[in-house]
Formats: sequence, C-alpha cells, structure tokens
Amino acid sequence: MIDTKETILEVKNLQIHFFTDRGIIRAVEGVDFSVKKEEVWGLVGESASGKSVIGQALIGVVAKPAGRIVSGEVFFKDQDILKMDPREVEKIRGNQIAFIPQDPTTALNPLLRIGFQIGEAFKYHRGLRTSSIFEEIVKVMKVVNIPSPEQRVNDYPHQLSGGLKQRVIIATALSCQPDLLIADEPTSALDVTIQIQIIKLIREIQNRFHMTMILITHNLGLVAKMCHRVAVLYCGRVVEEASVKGLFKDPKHPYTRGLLASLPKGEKGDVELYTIPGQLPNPLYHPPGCSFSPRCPHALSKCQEIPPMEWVSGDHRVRCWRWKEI
Amino acid sequence: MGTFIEIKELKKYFPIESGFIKKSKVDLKAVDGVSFGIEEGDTFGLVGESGCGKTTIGKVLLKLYEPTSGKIFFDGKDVTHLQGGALDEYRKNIQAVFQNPYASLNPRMRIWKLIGEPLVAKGWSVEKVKERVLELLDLVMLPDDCGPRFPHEMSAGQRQQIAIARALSINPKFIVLDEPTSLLDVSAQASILNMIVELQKKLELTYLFISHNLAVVRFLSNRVGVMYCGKLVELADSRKLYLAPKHPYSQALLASILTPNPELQSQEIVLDGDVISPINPPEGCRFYTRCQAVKEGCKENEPPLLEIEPSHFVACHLY
Repeated sequence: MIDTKETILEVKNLQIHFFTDRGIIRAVEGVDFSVKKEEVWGLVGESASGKSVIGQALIGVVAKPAGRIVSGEVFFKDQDILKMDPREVEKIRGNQIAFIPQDPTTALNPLLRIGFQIGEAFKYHRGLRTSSIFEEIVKVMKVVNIPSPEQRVNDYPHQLSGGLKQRVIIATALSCQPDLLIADEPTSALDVTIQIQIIKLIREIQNRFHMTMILITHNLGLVAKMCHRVAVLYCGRVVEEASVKGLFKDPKHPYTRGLLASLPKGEKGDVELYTIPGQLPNPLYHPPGCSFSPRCPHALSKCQEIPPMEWVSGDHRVRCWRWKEI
Repeated sequence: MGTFIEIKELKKYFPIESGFIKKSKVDLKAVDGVSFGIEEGDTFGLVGESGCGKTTIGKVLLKLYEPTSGKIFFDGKDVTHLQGGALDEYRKNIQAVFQNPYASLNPRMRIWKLIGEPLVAKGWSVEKVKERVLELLDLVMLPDDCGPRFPHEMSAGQRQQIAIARALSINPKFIVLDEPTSLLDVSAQASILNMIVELQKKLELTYLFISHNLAVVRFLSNRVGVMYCGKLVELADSRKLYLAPKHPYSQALLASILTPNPELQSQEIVLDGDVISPINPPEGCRFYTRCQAVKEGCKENEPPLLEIEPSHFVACHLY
C-alpha cells in the first residue's frame, strides 16, 4: 500500500561530526534512508546513538559551531536542503517540515501567550498580522483538542499541564499544515495515560492531513504502536531497517535482537532478562569496523571491517557480516 | 513470614501558602490515608502517575518526612515517631536507591568513598571499610579497579550500580527503590533489573519498588498497589492485577502499556483530561472526573478500599 507512494525525503550518506576540544565526536557516520509519502517512519536507538542529531539536521539546526554536517545529501521533494541558501531553508522549516521536540516545558517560551506562539510560524510564513490570524489559531487549537480555545489563547505556558503543553507544541507544528512532521520523543516526558492521549491525537492528525512523519524514539513499544517502517540506529549508523512487523518478528541484527530481548516482560521469577554485554563505546573513539562488534556475541575477525548494508528481503535490510548464519 | 513493614492510614500533607495580602493556607494532600503491608522477602510495587504520592510514601518510610498522621510499623515495632539513637538504629535497616544517579552521587567523591561513606559514618575503621567496599563492588559486578575513579567516568547504568552498592553497604533489610531504572537505556535497565532480583535472593532483601513503568513493576513485584492522587485505588497480587485489573484507573493504566509487538496491541482506553490536583481533591471518588464507568454517588461518596476477593482490595463503587 505504501510502496506505490512517492518518496518525500531521501537522505544519502549523511555524516555529522562534532568538533570538540577533546576530539571529534562522530555522531552520525553515513546514514542513508528514504521516507515515502504518508508513511510513519521510526528511528530508534539508545541515548547517544545520534537519532536526535539526525532530526536536527533535517530541519537545519545542528548545534553550531561544534556540530558540522561533514557530508551527505538530504533531498526533500527533490531539493537538496543541505545545499540550499539558509534563507530558503527558513521558508521550508516550520512550513513544510515541522518539528515536535521532546520536552514541552522547555520548548515553550514562558513569557509569551500560547496563542502568540502557536501563530508565530503561520504569521511568518504567510506574511500576516497577529490581528488577522486569531481564527486560524483557534482552529488549529481545536484540531489538537485543547478545551475552550477562545479563552486558552491568552494563557501562559505555566497555566497548562504537561499534556496540554504538548498539545500546544503540536498545534504550533501543525499551523502551516506541513508535509513532513519530525517528532523527537514526543511522549517520553509525559505520564502514561497522557501519553496514550497524545499518541491517539498524533495518529488521528496523521491520518486526517495525510502527513508523513518521522518518529524519533528510544521506546520500542511506541514504534510498535505507531510506525510503518523503522530503522535501528547504533553509534551513528543504521544497523537494520525493516517494516515494523518484519523487525519485531524476525530481527536480523544482533543488536536489534539484544534490544528486544532485554525488554522486561512477564511476571516475577519468570525469566532473567537478556543483557547486551559491555557498555556503549566512548563517542570519541568508536571501535573500528562494525561498532557493535565489541559487544556482539557473534563477532569474528571479519567484523573489524565495516559491513555493507545488505537486503534481506524487499523491505528489510541489515548491516551485519553474519546475518545469514546467526 | 509475617508482615515486615506496615503503614496504617498514613497521611502526609504539605502546607502551601497562597495570597500576598490575605494569606491563606491550604494543604497539598500528597498522601491521604494509605495502608498496606509488605511481607518479608517480598517486593511491593507502587505504581501511579507523577504527583500521585508514591515517592512521598517512600520518603516517609525512610523517615525523611514526618508523617502528618498514621502509623508505620517495622518488624512489629511502631517506628512512626522515632528520634535520636533509636532513629539511627532504624535507619541501619532501611536504605534507598533514587531515580537520578547523576544527582544522587557527589561528583567530587571517588567511588570507594561514595560507597564507604555510610560505613565511615557508622565508625568503621579504614581497613574494614576498604575490605567491605571491595566486597560490595564485587556484589554489584563492578570491576575492583574503579574504586579511585569519579562518578563522571561511569555510565548511567554503572552509577546506578554504585548507588545500589552504597545502599547495601550497611546490610539493610529493606530497600526503597524509587524509579531506579527510569533514566536508563533498555540495555542498562535490563542488567540493573536482573541485579535487583539477584540481590534479593542472595541477601534476603525486602523491597518497595516505586515506578510508573508497569512492565518493570510486573517483572519485579509480588504485590502491587496502584495509587491515584494520594489514595490507593487497588491493591492485589501482581499476577491477579495484571491479568484482571478491577479499578477503572488500573484498567486504563494497564491498557496504556506500549507492548513492543505490533501484532499484540491491546485495546486502548484513553482517559480524558488530566490528573486532578491534590490541593483541592473532590469530595467523592478522586477519579470520577476521568472515569468511564462513573455512576450516581461517585461524585459525592468516597469509595472505601474493600477486599472483593481474598487479598484483592479495590476502592470503587462498582464493587
């Protein structure tokens, strides 16, 4: 069903490094992927895997001056946004590509009314005045189910609960009806019952506006619930990409398998959880070859070289020398 | 094995002053009449969303807060108002591991000093402390040579191992684990959870495990209490609760677990609205504003916690 859709975003060999006093942190080391229209594409990884940095690169806000996009191409609707003039990118950001950050409390300016913050991008991209967009703001607040929007428009962020703040953030992202929505851990700062509310809302909006979405998260449960396709990131490289069903049913990469096996399940005393041996490598010194090899139970001397991405099936690819045998 | 730790009608109110000219005092009812007992060698899981009072209960048990009213019994003795030497004695039996291993370890202290500090406070000699620290490092599976290192050289999971070693240093019988894995990645979480289970078997520990992560609570606990806005709404054996939750809030909480399997997605129960404020909770059932099974009387009368099946307690008018 999705296969027939056109590609909206294509990332080729993206490399992002941070040049720090202590050395170069290779946060993203050659990432390729493409996202099709109306797809919910998940990017999972543990902390420091580079997932958030990829999200930032897509909207052109990698922390400068330390962070630099060393190489790569990011085609959004056949235009390479990395080569575009920053002012041109500004016209796309918040307009055609919108972003939902993780923590709603720090993402909103505490000194500005929420109505102003929701309308800011809309005003900028459409060239309108504040007075003329009141109705638009109320409309988008209704889309995200903020109760009594006419009065809430004048509230300040501290008057809202965490769930409502996240709705305000989503409203801000939706105001210009973007084609691509990048959500970086949109629910991990929320309580579980509020989390379910926001998941439901995002899914409804995605269906209603036929939006494409990139969901960046560490939560495999959230991926199972929301995404069509998913890529697993380890130390700045995609190690496996598949349809969500394929990944959970038949994970090929030892890291993906380890992650899935280490999730708590069952009752007390049932089983011991699987633990991935070792620690995440120091970001300054990634191991040579396959970055997972020092922790991998199946590693061989061959793993000192970087394995190529290989196709397992039509929509499942994996970066491992030994995926056929293990 | 009898009830090891018991709390009875525990209340903890925090006074809040508001108004500038006309000062008024209201109470934030963080914990409002909670009773439960923990058997020796068991793990009691306490779940609920932020602000429901679960951490406050942990802190009252640790005697970091004085309870407003109610009683705490430890091994049959009333420890509610201990002071001085008797309090020190009590604290030898009870330790804590907190949520954030970045905030709970002093960044200027070396690992061996961090772990050995409770022993030094108890007046142990330097040699004995050193010996014990090595023993503890071994117990939490940290390498012996990390003693002279600082916390910033350790990963989040290792820091939590240090926090556990410190909690174990004086051989406590009871440990309050307050969200010990919520800031960890899944791979680090798995090893800490395994360790918690192992240590319980090895050292015959009793745990109070506080968490909002229901899958983790299920993995660890024998008995689980579900809290909502300062009240216990359901109390049952873990197996029973997860198979057939009775209270509408427990049902919604369990349905909100994100199952990491796309083919096993449970029926969603989406609650409207937000958690109510514990400053002015409603007269009746505190959950009625969000409850999907609300009926007459829920608004006016507070449901008592009743035993509807052997050792399964629910506070709801439906039962």
